[in-house]
Amino acid sequence: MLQHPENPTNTFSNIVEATKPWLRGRTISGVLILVGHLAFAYHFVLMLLKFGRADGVGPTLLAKPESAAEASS
Amino acid sequence: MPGDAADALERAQVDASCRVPVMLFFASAVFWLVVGTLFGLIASYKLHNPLFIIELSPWLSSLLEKFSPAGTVELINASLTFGRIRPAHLNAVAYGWAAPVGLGVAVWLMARLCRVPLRFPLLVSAAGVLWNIGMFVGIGVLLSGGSTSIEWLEFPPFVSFILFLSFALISIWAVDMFVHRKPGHVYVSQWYIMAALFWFPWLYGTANMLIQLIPAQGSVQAIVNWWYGHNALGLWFTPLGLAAAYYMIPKVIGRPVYSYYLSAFGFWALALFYSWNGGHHLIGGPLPAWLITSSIVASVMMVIPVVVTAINHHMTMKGNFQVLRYSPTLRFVVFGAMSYTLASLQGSSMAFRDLNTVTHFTHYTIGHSHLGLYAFYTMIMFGCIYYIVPRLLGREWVSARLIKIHFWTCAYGIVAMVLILSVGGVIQG
Repeated sequence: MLQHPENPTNTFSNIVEATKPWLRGRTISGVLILVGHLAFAYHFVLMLLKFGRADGVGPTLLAKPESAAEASS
Repeated sequence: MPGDAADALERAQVDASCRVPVMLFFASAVFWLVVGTLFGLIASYKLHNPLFIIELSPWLSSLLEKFSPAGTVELINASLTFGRIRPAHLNAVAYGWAAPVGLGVAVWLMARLCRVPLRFPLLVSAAGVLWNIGMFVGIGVLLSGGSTSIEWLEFPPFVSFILFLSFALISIWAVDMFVHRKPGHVYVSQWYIMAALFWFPWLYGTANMLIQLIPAQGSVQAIVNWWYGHNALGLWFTPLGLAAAYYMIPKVIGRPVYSYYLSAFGFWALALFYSWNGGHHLIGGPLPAWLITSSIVASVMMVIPVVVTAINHHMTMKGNFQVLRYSPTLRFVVFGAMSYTLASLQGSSMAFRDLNTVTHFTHYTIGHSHLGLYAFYTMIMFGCIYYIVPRLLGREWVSARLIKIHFWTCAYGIVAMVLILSVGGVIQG
């Protein structure tokens, strides 16, 4: 696929065709990001609707911290 | 401990004053983020499947024609063509998501760091509503084909004016907090926010003046265009992202920034070098050689503030990397700070004429812009939202699992996107 930029036999349509698989890949990564944004937006709306925890247990963490003193966010 | 109680009361007053405007900025930003992502996805799909949506029309149109006035199908098809949906994506994510979320974070950080409540929160909220009215009108104009076709300034002048007015109303009250700050040390985040609040109106005002109102002619217009385009990233989004990173990283791990001297040095080096970078977008263009060459030099000089900031953040984090395992805020912010280093060094390399010959006008550049505005700026802003919202609402995030899904889909998504576009871009070039 890689050709010298000044190679006259490398047509413009050939270059455009060569980008297609990569553009499909971008769409797939875009879908992944959209999924993340939808999860985030849903979570944000839950917070707006006051579904957030108010039980005083402390911040929502992704895993258990090794020492309790470290848990500030 | 009466001192601690007084501090807690002060923080509660500061947070209460910011609650309405900052949550309004965040909520509208999240809305435009989702809309902008959808626009981007449609634009991306259309590049490898140009008949997307139009191909759907046989069954869609028969459905739509029954329930809507004649011409609706054509209108939708026209609105979603690449030439309209692509600027709609850029403007929705840049002016709908990135700017308001940055303003929300800036207002909150400013109030917390100056230790004064935000005055006139309702006025600031009204400005936020005005900004979103501008956004709806602007995106409507873009989808109906009214783009000015000048990148980063696609909105028509009257929409830019609405945004400018709204920005002025917001930034005045952020600067006002700085003027009335409690005595004490001025933190590096405050410098970056103050700088951003003064740089953006100067950039946006000048660019709109010289491109829309009294248009500069010929190739000079391109210089103004990229002076604005690159500075919007370098002197507006970047300082806000760095201000947030400089606040969140030390705050979450509970120790001071590694070096005050490096913070100051990084700030002034950024202020000195970033404003010249726009010219590297025009390498090979019909412009004076000295202009482009000086811009390339300044682009490479950007290595200095970037490396200085990277060292400062890394040394602050050193010994505390285990916190990334459980703190959502820190995980997003550190991902963003690392991406800042990568995006900036990649940007400096792209200014070299040799590499630029290959990558200019290819998808490689798109990969670079997503590494900057998404992997750096947006990820840091996600981290800030995870930190600030519980403090404003007095409630904690509902689910750690949702945060994990958010982080890993976005992290894998953006890394994949940047790699794919970079390889595809080089092949294309």
